[in-house]
Amino acid sequence: MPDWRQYLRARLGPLGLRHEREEEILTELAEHLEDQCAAKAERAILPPNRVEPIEGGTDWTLLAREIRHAEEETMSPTAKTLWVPGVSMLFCSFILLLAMTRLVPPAIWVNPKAPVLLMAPWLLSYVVFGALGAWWSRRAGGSTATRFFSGMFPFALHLAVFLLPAILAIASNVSRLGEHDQVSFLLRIGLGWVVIPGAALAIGTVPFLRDSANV
Amino acid sequence: MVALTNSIKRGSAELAVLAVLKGQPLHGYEISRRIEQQTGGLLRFTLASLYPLLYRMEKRGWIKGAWETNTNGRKRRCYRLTTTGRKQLAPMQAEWRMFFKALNLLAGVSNA
Repeated sequence: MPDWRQYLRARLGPLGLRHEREEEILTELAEHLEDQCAAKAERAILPPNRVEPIEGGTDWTLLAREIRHAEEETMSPTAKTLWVPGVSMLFCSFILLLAMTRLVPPAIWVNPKAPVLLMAPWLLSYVVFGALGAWWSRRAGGSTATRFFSGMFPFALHLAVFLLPAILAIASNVSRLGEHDQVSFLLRIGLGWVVIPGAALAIGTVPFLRDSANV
Repeated sequence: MVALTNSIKRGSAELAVLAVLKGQPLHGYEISRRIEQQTGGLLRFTLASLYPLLYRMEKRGWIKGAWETNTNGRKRRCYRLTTTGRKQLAPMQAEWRMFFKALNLLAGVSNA
């Protein structure tokens, strides 16, 4: 039998991978060629000492490139379909909130029309973030659940940044309020900072939860 | 058209590999042999089409390769389906069934 490793090394050239991995790939491909050659010899298609026609039509440069590309695919499917789109949307929503608190003049915050002036565009942006997260995840091949959770990532920001301090605030500063007022305060905070933004995000994800008909 | 062809080719090749690995772990040559045998020679994998695909699928966590030594003392890299790969199989089969159904409605192409 010919030295298949030598045969492959001469045709593929250096693959540009880690030495151990490159050796492993050469061994594996050599084993394949040896099996293929043995099978053909057994069926009397090819004399055992003839090697050239076995993978005669192979574009070795293309094969080397394809192997390199396959090996360079480092991101896991979960990272591609959930973490990257989700964290990106979380980051965008965080930046938007930060920008709003820094850039919006205080007069607008105390304006009676603040809910309309600030809440409406802010919630609209959440519909967009939800949609973008789900679309990105679908584009990366995410399942329905993954798409939904990718779009809902900014919701975590609300739970972490607003809900917890709100509860702490109730526990410390609002304790002088009556029980009814405390419940009402908690409901208002929960509704405004958690439920409504969460619903906006969820609405955004909806159009992208169905599978795309694109091939 | 090129993108469509590549997408179909890659998708069908992945399904073929997942389907043959469903039964048992196999090494590369055996995977290609089984696919050829089970499709009556209609589907044929070459060295160039099989291994980049296997490496890509392994990177995605759908299959896992491990070196094994057989009774003749030959070292082979055997691939087995992972839990993630197993989960991919059913939706992929459903997708292809839907695809053939759509083609059948459109152009009378039956997958039977």
